[in-house]
Amino acid sequence: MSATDSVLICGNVVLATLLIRASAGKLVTPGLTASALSELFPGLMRSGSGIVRATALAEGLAALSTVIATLRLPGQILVALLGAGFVLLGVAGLLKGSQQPCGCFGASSTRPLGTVNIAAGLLLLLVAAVNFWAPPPAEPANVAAYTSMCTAIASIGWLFWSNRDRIRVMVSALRARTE
Amino acid sequence: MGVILPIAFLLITLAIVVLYAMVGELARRIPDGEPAEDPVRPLTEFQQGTAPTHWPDDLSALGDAPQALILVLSPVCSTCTNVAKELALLAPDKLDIPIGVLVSAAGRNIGEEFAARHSLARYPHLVDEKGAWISGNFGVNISPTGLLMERGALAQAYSFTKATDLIQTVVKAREVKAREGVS
Repeated sequence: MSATDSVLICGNVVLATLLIRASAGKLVTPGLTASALSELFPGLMRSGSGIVRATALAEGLAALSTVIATLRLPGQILVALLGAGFVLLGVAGLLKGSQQPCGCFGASSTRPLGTVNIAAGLLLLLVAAVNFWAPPPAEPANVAAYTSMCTAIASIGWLFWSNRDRIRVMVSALRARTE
Repeated sequence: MGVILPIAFLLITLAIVVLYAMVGELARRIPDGEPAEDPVRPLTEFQQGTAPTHWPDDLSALGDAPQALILVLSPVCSTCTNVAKELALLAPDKLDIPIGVLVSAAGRNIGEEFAARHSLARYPHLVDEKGAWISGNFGVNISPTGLLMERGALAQAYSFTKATDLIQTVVKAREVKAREGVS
């Protein structure tokens, strides 16, 4: 596997992991992000949840496009648009002093719109730029397989990490019960 | 086949993450399922006037107080975790009633870890292994439970979801009782 393919795999794994988590969180609890948006743009109060769900679907599609060779570049246009949107929302949150939890990665995201969103947006823009810069993968099937496998491992690892307190308590209770 | 497998893999990953988000959301909503107009519910199955055979040193200050609340929490209940987080934000010496925390846990280390994580050492607290003391003396085996003690004896037991609501209820009841006593 060429060095460029490895760079593509690493970039797209980070991208797909972020987008899958963001998409899942927003699909389940769109209300949180909608409240954060309506704090910045009061006119969005009614249609907020719909916009958030549409964004979640776009994030899911963009994640999926990383493993479909023909959709790799069109998908990256979507990724760049999402990245630019996140940066703009982060800047707007900072300027207006947003207080509402953003819920960008689900109900566990308690920070308001701000620097984290700017950082995530810049990361998406960077990965999109890498995808545009890199030549098509030499072995597309292998690249797709590695990308999906590593994304699954990273996503499950992130789930375990964010639920570590609950897991620790459950494991300790089970261990105590068997003693 | 070569294209379908990675797509299927990603879709399964997305499904697992969505499922986890739904479970997390469900767990968060369970306390909200309590009737909003009655977040503190008196429990009738406990015998008023019951006094423990002995007070553990960690809680003995509450046994001597004219009125005190013992909050029974467990590390494996999500409402208890919320209550513990709430207690971490309160100032024990500024409360209208002295509060003690009893952590009923399957193992001492689990209870101590829970108490340390939520800074419960600021309150008189006891890690009750397998709930031996609390269930042995008062028959309490559900959490969270609030026990209102008057001079070392059980005056009332409550089911609750927020410590501040419980304190408010107890203080209000005390004020009503005092007014009735005067008139």
